[in-house]
Amino acid sequence: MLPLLTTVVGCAIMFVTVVLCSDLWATESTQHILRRADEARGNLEGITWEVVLEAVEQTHTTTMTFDVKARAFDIVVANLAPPQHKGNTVLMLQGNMWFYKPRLSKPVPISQRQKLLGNAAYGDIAATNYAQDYTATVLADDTVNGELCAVFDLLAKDKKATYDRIKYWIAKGRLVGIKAEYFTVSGKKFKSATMEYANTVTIDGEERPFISHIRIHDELLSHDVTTLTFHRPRFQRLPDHLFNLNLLVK
Amino acid sequence: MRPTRLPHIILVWLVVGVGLHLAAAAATSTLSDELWQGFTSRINLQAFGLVQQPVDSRVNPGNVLNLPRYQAEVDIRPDLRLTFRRLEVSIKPRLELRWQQWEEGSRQGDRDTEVETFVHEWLVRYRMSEQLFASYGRENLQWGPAHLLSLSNPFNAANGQNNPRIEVPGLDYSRVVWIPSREWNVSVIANTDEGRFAQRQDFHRTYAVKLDYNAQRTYVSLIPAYREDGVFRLGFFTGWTVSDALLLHMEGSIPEHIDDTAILVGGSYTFTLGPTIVIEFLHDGSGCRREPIGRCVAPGTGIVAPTSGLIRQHYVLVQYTHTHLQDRLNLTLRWMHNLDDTANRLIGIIDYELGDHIQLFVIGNVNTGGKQVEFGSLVDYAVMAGVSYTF
Repeated sequence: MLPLLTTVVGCAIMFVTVVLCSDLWATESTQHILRRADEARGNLEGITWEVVLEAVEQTHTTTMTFDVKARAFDIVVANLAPPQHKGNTVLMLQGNMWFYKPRLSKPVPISQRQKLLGNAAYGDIAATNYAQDYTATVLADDTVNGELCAVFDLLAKDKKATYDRIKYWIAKGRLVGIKAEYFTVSGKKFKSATMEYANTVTIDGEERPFISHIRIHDELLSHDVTTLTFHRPRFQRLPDHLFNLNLLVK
Repeated sequence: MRPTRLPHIILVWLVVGVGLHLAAAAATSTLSDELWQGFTSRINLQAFGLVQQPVDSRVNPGNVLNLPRYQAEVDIRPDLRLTFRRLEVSIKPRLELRWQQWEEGSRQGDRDTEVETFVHEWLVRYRMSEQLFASYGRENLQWGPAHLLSLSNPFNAANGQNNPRIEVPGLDYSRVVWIPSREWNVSVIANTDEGRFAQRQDFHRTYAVKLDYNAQRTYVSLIPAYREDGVFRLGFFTGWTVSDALLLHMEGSIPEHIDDTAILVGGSYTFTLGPTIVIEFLHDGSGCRREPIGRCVAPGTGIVAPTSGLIRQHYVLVQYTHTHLQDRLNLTLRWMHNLDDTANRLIGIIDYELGDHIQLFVIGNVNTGGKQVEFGSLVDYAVMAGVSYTF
């Protein structure tokens, strides 16, 4: 009787261990995939790039150009064109956002929900940190433009994230996010995006694809399209003073 | 206008300096490229017309403040900036061509044209290290999250948000900013001259230390300040990013006489479709409770005694802002309610973008409550409309 009991208990322990390890492996794998996808859309030490934003609304198109400096999730966005917006600057530091324009005599606090232009929010040009900010549930694999993707349902860990819920398609071969759908708290899809990675950067000696275009589609009202084009990404260490509100206004 | 040669000296110095730099740089194309890349400019031309109805009240008896009924103005506003290695130099010279006509007071029927040139702001800043910056110049130095008034600012609480087309005058400051970490900043500020902020009748130098702490989704600043005539006060502000849409803030100042404490609490909420609502409540213990409003000011000077820049003690601000409407229209509506006078000031600010360079604007201002209350004691209404062109 005793050997049988020992065998059963042993098997049970092995089963639980295998299940736990497989869960841990899956979680680790999900974290790894999300982290790699995040790395293709930002950098913790610092990145400088030029972003051209084009919003097509009904009959007209508006274009703006920004100089963006991003370090992890802190960003400084300075408007370069058109001339009447030149000098407008947004600073996001530790999740607090400030907006300054030459005609305002001081920077004013703004929320992350404020629109940059068209359907683009300021959060769209900051680095993503989905691996850390969201709880991921693995969904069934899917194919986007012939590319096999792992699909994740991302739920914000708290109300501080830019979006409450995101359905995110990550290309399995390249480990980059190529499609996303954004949902309101009530579960309504309000915008979607597709991403392209024509830029390349070198990380740890390895050449990797890097974000070049994001196309954002309004899914609620107008079906307008906003395109962000990322030019000349340069990885460089960005010091604290570039993200300092006391030095922002010149 | 206060005569001063300083702006002209600075302007000449800047032009000569830049010229010398460019001449020297011609020898080495690398240096000339560096200088050229470090130079930025923004030149704005603004033309507007203003119609307002001055009020004959105890604050402005017989229009002693000489408020015109009609005004037309053309402003040329270049902002020039050069960043060269550790040095930043910026200058904002101004030229204003103004025509005015009076229908009230001693100048009734008069018309006048004047040209005014001055330097609105200028700054020389040197980066001593990645953590330490020193600067001197004429600045409109503003901070804090409040939309109604910047109570924590010991130099000038008026932040110009009622009419963003009129520039808030700068004062002269020397500043040292130390950035020991991402979270902590320390600024040591000396206000050495009243600059173009000529409303002050008796200027005294003021010294302040601004201590900033930025934490995740929150920030806190303390600003102890001392004025040379012996006045000490502690300014403060704090803010909390509650969610991607909701922000809360508080700003105030605590003087030596604690009953004169001024405090403003507020918050803003941004809706999914873009508009933002701001609500603020102000209590200023130093505000005047005497009736009518003429007993609160020195007649005919427009001088306001309380620290807040507003005369009474209690105010509410409700502001609605919707920017990028159809990517062209920016709309701001401000409703200021004076709880002591039960009077209102309604302000509408509309900008319409006509292409990449041109902006049309209208700013309207209506005051209710009559001449016995604060808001109605200077003008009944004012409408400003114009066009702006930016290179």
